[in-house]
Formats: sequence, C-alpha cells, structure tokens
Amino acid sequence: MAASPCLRGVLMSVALLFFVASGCRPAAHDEDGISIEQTIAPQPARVGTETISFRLTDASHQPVSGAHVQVEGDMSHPGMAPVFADATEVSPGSYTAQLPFTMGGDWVVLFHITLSNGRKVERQIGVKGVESN
Amino acid sequence: MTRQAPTLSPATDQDRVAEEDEFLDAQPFDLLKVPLLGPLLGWRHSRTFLQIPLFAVSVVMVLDGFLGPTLSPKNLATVLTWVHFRGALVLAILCAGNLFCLACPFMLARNFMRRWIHPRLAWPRRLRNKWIPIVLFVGVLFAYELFGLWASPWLTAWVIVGYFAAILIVDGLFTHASFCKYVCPIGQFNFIAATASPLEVAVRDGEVCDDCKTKDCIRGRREPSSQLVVLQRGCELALFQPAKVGNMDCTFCLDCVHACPHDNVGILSRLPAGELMIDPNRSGIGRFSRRNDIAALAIVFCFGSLMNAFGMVSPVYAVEDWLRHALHIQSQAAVLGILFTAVIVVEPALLLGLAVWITRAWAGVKNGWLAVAIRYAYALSPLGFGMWLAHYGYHFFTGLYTIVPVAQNAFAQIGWPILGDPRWTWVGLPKTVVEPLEFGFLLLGLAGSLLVAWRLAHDDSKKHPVRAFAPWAALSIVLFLCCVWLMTQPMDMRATMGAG
Repeated sequence: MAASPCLRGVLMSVALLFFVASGCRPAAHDEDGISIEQTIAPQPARVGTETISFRLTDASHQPVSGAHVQVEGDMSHPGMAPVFADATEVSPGSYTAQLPFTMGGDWVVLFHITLSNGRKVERQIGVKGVESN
Repeated sequence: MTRQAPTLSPATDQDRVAEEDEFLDAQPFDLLKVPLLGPLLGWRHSRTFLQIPLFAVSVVMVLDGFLGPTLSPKNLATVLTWVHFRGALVLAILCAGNLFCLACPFMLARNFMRRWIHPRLAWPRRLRNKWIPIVLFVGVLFAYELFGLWASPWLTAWVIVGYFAAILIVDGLFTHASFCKYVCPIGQFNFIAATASPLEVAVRDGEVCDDCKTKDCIRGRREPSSQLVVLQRGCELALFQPAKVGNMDCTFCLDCVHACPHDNVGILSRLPAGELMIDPNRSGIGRFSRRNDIAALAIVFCFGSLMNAFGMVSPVYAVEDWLRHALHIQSQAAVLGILFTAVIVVEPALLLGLAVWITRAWAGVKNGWLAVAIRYAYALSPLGFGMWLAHYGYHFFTGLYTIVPVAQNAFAQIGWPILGDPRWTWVGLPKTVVEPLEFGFLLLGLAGSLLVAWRLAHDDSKKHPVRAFAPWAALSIVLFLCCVWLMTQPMDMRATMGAG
C-alpha cells in the first residue's frame, strides 16, 4: 500500500489534532481577583446535609461583602441530579450554605457569585470521597 | 477459530436439523416490510444516512470534550457517551437489534477513507478470533475505573479520537471489516448482547437461496467490465446468508440486503436468545461449542457487567482498602488489577468449574470439562445483558433530560444561546420509576439464562435433564442475586485518577 497524499493528509491531521488537544486542557484561572477559602463540616463529608462555610476576599485581601452566592453541587459522574443552596452572609465576607449531598463519591461544588456591583464570578472546588451512610 | 471440542448434544442429527429448520423458518415479522421504515432501511444509502448525524454528534463531542466545560456533568462528551450512548445502545439491542453498529460513525470515516485507500493485507489467520477484542474490552473497563473516564471530558474525547484512529489504521491496512470482526470491543459487546435481540438479518425463503447462482450476499457485485469496481459490497464479516445463524458478528450493515438480487434478505423476528439454545455450523463462525474464544467473550460479558457495576458502589472502596492493607500495596492500578482478576478470571473459573463438576458427576454428562464449560457459558450471556441493561438503563433514564441543559450550555458557551439559559434542574426520571425497570431487566436476563440452560441441559442429558440443569440454574440465580445486591448498594462514584 503506497502512502498516498490522502493518507499523508489523514496522518498529518491526526498529528495536528494530537498537538492541539494536548495543549488545550483548560486550567483554572483567577483573573478577577476574587479568592475563596472554604471549610466543610462535619468531616469527613458524608451523604446528607453538609455545612459549607466560605470567605470571599478581593485582590487586596479585603472581605467581599454583599454578594449573592448560589452554591451548586454536582457529582463527578454525568447524569446525576445537581443540588443547590443559597448562601447567607453571616459576617462581612463570610458566608455559609447548607448543601445536601445525595450520594457518595466525588463531588464538585460550584459557587455562582454575583457581586454587589452586579459582576458575576464563578468558583469551583472538589469534595473528594463523600462517604455513604 | 481455536481448539475444537467434541459435539456435545446427544440429539440425533435429524432431530437437530428439524429443530434448526423450525427455528430458522419462524419469520412472522419483517422490519423491512414496515411502511416508511422498511423502504428507508432498504434504501442503498440508508446506512450513510444514519451514520452522518452520529458522526456529526461525535465531532461535536470531541470538540466539547477538548474545549468545553471541564466539569463532566456539563460537557457533551461525557454526558452523551456515559449516559445517553450506552443506555440507548443496550435498549436498542433489547428492543430491536444491533442498531449502533448499523449507524456506527466510525465506519463512516472508514468508508470515506476507503474511497482512496484500498488495503490489500488479509487479517492474520492466527488472530481471527475474539481474543484481541476480549483483552480490549477488559482494558476499556479497567481504564474506565482507573482513570475515572466518566469524570473527564478530556479523556473521553481522547477515547473517541482513539477509536477513530484505530479503525482508520486497522481498516486502512487490512481488507474487509477486520476492525469490526476482530478488534472492536464495542462491536463484540453488541454482538454477544444482540444474541438476545428480537430481530436478526436473515433470509426470507431458504429455497430461493438454494437456486441462487451468484451468492451476491457474500461476494457483492462488481462492474462486469472491471472486477476492480465494486458496485455493491457483500458481507464484509464473512456471513453467508443461507448459512448465517443469529446475530453473532452481524453489524446490521444491510450490505446483504442491498446485494441480494432476489430481495430475499430481511430483518426478521426470532426468539430472543434462541440462537444460544442451538449449535449449528454458523457461517463465518463455526459451531459455538468449538469457539472457546466466543465462550470466553460470553463469560467476560457476564462477569464484566458485575465488575463494572461493583466499581460504582460503596463496598468497592472497603474491599480496595482491605487489599491495600492486607497486601501492603499502594498502587491503585495494582489494586484494581487484583479486583479485576478476581471478578473476571478467578470467580468465573471457580463457579463454572463447580457447575461443570456437578453436571458431569450428577447428570452423567460424559464430555470433557472444557467442552461442558464452553457449552454452558453461553447461557450466562442473557443474565449479563440484563445486568448491563439494568446498569446503563439506570444512568440513561435517571439522566435522560440532562442533554437539554448541557446542549443549552454548549450553545451559550460559543456565544450563540439560541436554546436559552441552561436548566440544570432537568435531570431525568425519578428513581421510584427507574428502579422497578432495573429489576425487570435483571429478571428478564435471569429468565433468558434459565431458558437457555434448560434447553442445553435437555439436549445433553435426556435421562436427567433436571440434574444437568440444576447447577447452571443455581449459578444463574447466584449471579442474579449478586446483581440485585449490587443494584441496591448506595452509589459511590470516585474518579480515582486522572479526572480533569
């Protein structure tokens, strides 16, 4: 079988795809300067309602107050029902939310943050190995 | 084709031929005769027509997998692959037949390539069996657990790209449908599962084939003036219609339907799993009783369904922790390797070995150990299919609507939100509806396994059919109870490595 121009084209396309795909794995960015520090209690996280406490700070490490934060929990497996909770601000920059983990396994928690000036920010953390009851 | 085992059935040849004729003559329904659907499937370009949308979806999945959201439940690659594709595939096999192979998008790329690339190599004779796809099938199940493929759109996209690359390489080098018949793990899954399907591609009237001189169904048709110009392909998987039995190795490509000059090939109804109850010489396959590779495929298909579900429930982590402490190993790959070996190799060897021993000792079946094991291994495939249905059906039904918000999100991500804001609360059917379905699938699988085992036992031991049946019935029931136990365990899905 001779290596026709078509075959060379296919091979080059595959090689190009390999290089493109290798370089396009998205990375986490913190471009808007909003940082989040969170704790989850009780530990270890179990199926049931967990309290997620988190603190929002801006680029100058000042607490971010007056934000509306919706917390979303997603299983690592697709096709599972997400869970939602609205966070309440308990002190300037400090928020808490009650999130009901519905099954064991690895969860991803998303923070949909709407700042007081209307700007929207998203943050994501992993909650590994939520234990079944 | 591998080593030969003696013919096992004590039924006379005359009985068996009559039995097979009765089986083959049962043609009460022909899908190709159904208005609209029949003419569509009978259209020469029907396969391409069905492949194009799936190919387009595959491209979108790859792009979203590489460039879209990193969160698995929000990415088209992971949602469509691990929720919708797997579930739709097994449900289509249950309700009709091997429809995924019919609409296989990988074959569209391969057929396109073969417009210019004409392979000349024959697939190596030593590899004309199912051992490579069995290893690949287990490898896919292993990689799924080890790398948490379900949790990584990026890895899922690479699996799709790898599949396209593999078929282009194999079928770019080797003639006929070498990839489908000797390599494709999805294809082998479909072939063995489709033994329980209600439809098969088969001849309508055997007498028409008796008078046929051209055998176009397997040879195809070529330009009279130039034998190099193929007008219509014959079966690329070496299934000669008059001698074809059942769905094993049939991709439902319908080449034989289009090639037959007598319009004598249809998609006919038949007894689901009936092909497992008989052992004729099948075109392109031989006798099941002489194919220890296909018997091994049936075993891996059944026990693999247990392993795949076991990896998704809480007790697996307790077992893994116990193995780590008992054997002082930390490597997740090693722990999983031990688990897979135990469930897919050791467990079947012990259970089938015990059943074979009882069958020979109690029912007086005189055939060798391996021969008895091979014969009854096929009886396990309906139960395995029931478990795959229960598992994949669960994800499919409980996550049925998730495609809506994920598609909405995909359009929004490219700055074209024509479907509106994602409605992430759209998930699927409630568990209270789905769980009875799952147990129904398992019961259906158990019933199929018991029926096949009974028929085989009845043929093998006219004097003591119950004694020959009992060990295999007991094995099926034990495995069924394992399936029920697995389905009632709390789900616990951890992406152990590499999830992005």
